Amino acid sequence: MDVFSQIAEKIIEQQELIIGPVAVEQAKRVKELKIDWPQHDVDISGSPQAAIDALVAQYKELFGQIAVETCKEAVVRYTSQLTPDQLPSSLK
Amino acid sequence: MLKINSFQKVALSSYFVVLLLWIFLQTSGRTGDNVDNLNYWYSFLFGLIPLIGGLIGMFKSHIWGGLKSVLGKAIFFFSLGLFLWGFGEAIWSYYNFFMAEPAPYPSIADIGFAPSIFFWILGTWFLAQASGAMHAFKNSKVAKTLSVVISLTLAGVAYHMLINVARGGVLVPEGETALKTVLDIAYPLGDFLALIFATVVFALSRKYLGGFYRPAIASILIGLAIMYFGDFSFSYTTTAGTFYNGNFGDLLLASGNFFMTFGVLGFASLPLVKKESAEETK
Repeated sequence: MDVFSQIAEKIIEQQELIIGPVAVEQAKRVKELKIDWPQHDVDISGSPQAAIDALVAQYKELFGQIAVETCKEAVVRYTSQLTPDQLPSSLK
Repeated sequence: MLKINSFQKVALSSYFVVLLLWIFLQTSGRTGDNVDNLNYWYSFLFGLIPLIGGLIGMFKSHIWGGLKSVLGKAIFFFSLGLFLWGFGEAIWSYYNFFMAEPAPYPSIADIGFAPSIFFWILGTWFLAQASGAMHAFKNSKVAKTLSVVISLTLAGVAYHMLINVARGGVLVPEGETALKTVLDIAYPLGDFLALIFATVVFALSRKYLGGFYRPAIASILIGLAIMYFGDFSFSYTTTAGTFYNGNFGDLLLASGNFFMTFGVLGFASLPLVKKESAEETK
């Protein structure tokens, strides 16, 4: 898995700890993500930054800024590998 | 406009009925010593809201992962507390209707009432993690200071209200039974902790909490705070010997239970969210 897929997976995983199966359901609503959650496999089609932004927005719609902060904290290890222009705007 | 689900609509309608009945009790002179079965019906009816709402909440917590997720635990424990409180109120009504006891305290009803506060505090602990209060506490010195200031201020005010005002400065009067002694300590302590937890979580999560479920979480915390004043009124009136079923304290208890039930039921359904795409989020 590339780093963006890992970021998406980590975000879903962290959200699942907080809001349970709703986290996976919400992630499946993002068109750019193809998810096989039993295998923890996430594929991204199209712009990876836009896909991550859409995923974060999905959680933000339910719980607001705390959802964004949780996503950011969950992927700090991965975002440090990205250059500023590679970083999805929702994780800045 | 606030969107509410069908469970919340039923709870809201039931609360309006209870509210109208309370107004009728007051305007028809069913106060003080002039109470009759209608006052007992009031107590019974408002207890149904947390009893049934709590049961629904426990079942619906599986939507959020039940005891496997932070939010699922919060909803489950709040619901369990509500169910137990409603159960206690049903037992209370049994004493009212069938044993002609207007204020059965302590009694078997306390098996429902007493643990409910513990489960609400537990629910608030998990809600603190899901709502951003814990995040704020860990990452902000201001939040830490605010938590301490709120806790100390409320501790002083709540102690004065519950011990000095409601109980005349005596926590456990002489000659009480062991059960009443335990309950006389457990209720104010539980109420006091619940009020502090609710206020701190509400204050700390304000910056981070938003989105579709913000009103539901706010409703739970507001309900918890109202319960403190309801229990305070109960302590005060039972100590002063002025308690009657359907008094103002009972209205507070009905309202506190309603707000918490209404909030918990907000999590009984998921919002209909349109298919999200990268284009739509730009």
